[in-house]
Amino acid sequence: MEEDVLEILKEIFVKPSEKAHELSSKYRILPYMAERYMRILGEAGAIEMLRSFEKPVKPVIRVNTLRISPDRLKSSLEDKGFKLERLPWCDSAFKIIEAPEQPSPGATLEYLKGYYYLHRDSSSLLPVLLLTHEYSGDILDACAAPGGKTTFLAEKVYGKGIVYANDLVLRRLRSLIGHITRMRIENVVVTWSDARKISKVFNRKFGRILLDAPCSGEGRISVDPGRRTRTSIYELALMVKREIELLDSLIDMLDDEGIIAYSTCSIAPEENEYVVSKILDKRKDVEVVPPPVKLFEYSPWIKRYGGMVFHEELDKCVRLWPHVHGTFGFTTCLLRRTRR
Amino acid sequence: MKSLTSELKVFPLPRKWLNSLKAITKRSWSADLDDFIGQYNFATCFGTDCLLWSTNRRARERRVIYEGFWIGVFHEKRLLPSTSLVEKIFANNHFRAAIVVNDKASELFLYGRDVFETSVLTRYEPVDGIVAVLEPEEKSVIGFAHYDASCKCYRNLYDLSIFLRLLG
Repeated sequence: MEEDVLEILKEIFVKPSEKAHELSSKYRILPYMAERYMRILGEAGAIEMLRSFEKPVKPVIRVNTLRISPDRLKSSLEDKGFKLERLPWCDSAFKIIEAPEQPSPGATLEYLKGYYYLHRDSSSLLPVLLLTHEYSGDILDACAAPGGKTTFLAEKVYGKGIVYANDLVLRRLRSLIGHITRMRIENVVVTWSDARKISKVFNRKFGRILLDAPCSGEGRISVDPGRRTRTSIYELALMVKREIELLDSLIDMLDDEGIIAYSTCSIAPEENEYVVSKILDKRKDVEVVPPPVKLFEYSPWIKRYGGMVFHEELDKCVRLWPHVHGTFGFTTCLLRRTRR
Repeated sequence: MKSLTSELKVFPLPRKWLNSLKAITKRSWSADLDDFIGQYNFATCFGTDCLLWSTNRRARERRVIYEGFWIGVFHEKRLLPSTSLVEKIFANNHFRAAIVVNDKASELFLYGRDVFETSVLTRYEPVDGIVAVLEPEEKSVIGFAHYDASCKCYRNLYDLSIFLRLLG
């Protein structure tokens, strides 16, 4: 085992209690996850969250406003039997409250014409809205596939910037290109590379970077039950190592005063608070910045977990809890590069 | 040809392909392709299916596999324009080499089916070669077909569901 993975493993390890084993068996999750939820939320809170995993999350239609107005698309889809509800914090997105048997939301004529992107959940809109708030210029989307956030970023900076969408997995890049062509988005450049080595691809810096890091996906258990038991604590340590490496390399790609949004679809503090704390420990040229706009009531990142005490400034970062916000578990933290 | 893996290839659009696309747009829609594409043209192929794209951006970083404006496809050994390209042509010119089909036929066409003559609401001549298939509500291009007298139908060459089939 690599020394740094072992070090991470030592720091994030928690010994599951008897009660954690009980919850683990009742809710079909790994014991270390149950222990973690109890430590963060208390027993009652942990049970409330575990129960929320059983509730289906409503998919979201995000209108491609470069092609059609939200009201026109809503009316057109409602004629086909969809019942849509506008998100209070994003004018161009609708929750699907009811859908007809046919056509499915991913096979309507409107979808094929590129009038919308179908998100599994509303949480993924958040980092895009925060990162592009009052911003003009180019953006690097470092782990971009399958393209929900890329296409939204491109729409937000249309006429004002280019989105450089990178990913390592070819099969997923194929989907990304499919969405860009389907939605007729022309201000995207797609690259295929390991984001940790992206300085070899781009001989330049960026004012904004989105790092939606490949993670355990523990916040998406409601749509992917396999994630209840997929990630052992050792595999989690490997992911944490990669997340730290990704964030560290990408901060190097920021302009002075440039901002990176680090986000994951995981509720694990190991993949969030721990990762950003490690970066803040290591680098003196980066600071946490609060969200530039309050779209709804955010939950802050946690202050301590297990034997770890995290940086105070992390309370500026945003957590979405499934049982509080009715979304996937999701996190976003904005970091600004201050000086070289 | 720049082969990034056995599965993916990215390369400058061969002169032969560009000329073939120019000939199609000239013959069917009386349009000069140069008026609608950028300075730099490329193809990105996944296996035997390729997307053709065009850009005016001069800088090209290593590892770029797609950017700019989608101008065509190479699918089932046939080169065809993109729906976006022909819509741009129609935005600047009158409809030509196109058929407007009814709702039901539009839906079936998007499942890969052919269009029977009886489902055609309007014809914009010439319709004896490649035609753009238009849905009735907005008259947007949903794919391409060619007339086959043996079935009195327009054979589906490709339609917008190509995104679901080719690109996942």
